[in-house]
Amino acid sequence: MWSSADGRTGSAFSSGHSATEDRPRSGRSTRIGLTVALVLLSLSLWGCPIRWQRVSINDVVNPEDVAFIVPGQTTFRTIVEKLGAPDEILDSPVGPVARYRFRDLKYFRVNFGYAWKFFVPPGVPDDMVLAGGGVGTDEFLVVLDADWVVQRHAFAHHVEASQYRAWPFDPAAPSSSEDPLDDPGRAY
Amino acid sequence: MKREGAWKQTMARLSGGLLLCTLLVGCAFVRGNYGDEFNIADVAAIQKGVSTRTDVTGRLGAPDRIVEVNGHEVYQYYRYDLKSGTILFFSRTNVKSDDLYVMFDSNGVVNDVVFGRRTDGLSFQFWPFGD
Repeated sequence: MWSSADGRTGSAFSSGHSATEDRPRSGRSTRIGLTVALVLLSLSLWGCPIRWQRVSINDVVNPEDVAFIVPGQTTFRTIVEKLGAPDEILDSPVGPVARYRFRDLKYFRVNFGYAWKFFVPPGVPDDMVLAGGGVGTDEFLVVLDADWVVQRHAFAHHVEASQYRAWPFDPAAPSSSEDPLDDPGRAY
Repeated sequence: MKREGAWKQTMARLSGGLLLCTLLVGCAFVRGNYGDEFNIADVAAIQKGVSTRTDVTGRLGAPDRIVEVNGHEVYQYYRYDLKSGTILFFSRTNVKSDDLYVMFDSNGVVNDVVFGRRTDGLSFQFWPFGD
């Protein structure tokens, strides 16, 4: 199919420019080959056997972004002017709490059975998938007093939980010799 | 000769179109949102020390959440906007929120208004690595 289009496609590509009429045949073939390779590559990628996916919710708040906050002095109004409105305002026994959150989800998936679909009839399962990921949340908490002045603030970092994981299984278990229960000299 | 040139040109366009189509297969751009967009005029119309609960709900509707903070009632309104891009193996979805807090005093009159608009900076991306 592709070889039949080869000659015509190549000559058609060079028809717009008079200079290209004189182009060596090897250069034309290279371009045709590249075009065909690109088409074949993109056709072979239909269905995407590999996938990296990421979902981000809202913006990261970095320590340098909150360097201006001075407990006992900075007001909630000033924080809102610099950081925007929080994601949540809660009540607590010590006063209002403003929470800024950044959520990050990472997910990786690979289907090793992808090529199998070209050899088996429709309807026959052809998936062999390994996939894994995680969701992490970074949070910036501001505790305010009754006058909406900052009492204290802190970060909670959990965004490391967000990772692309190609191997979904647990790491290998320790060998039996490392198990204290196997120690014959130990009394229970 | 002229006819041959036209034929070549047609084939070139066809080949280019085919290549473009096959390269674009596997791409997706998705847009979604949760909640109505805030009308800035409605937000600006809420006046501290003047507007009441009735005025606020009349303009903005019922709040998404009502929180009791520091002895005061706080109405929270929010909306989310989503932009997602996928190209071959790579997919990235960005979600951002707009939040509006209206704080009332003990008489039910607006004490403060806090509005944050993050969705203006929302963009389509497909590269899932980095920040």
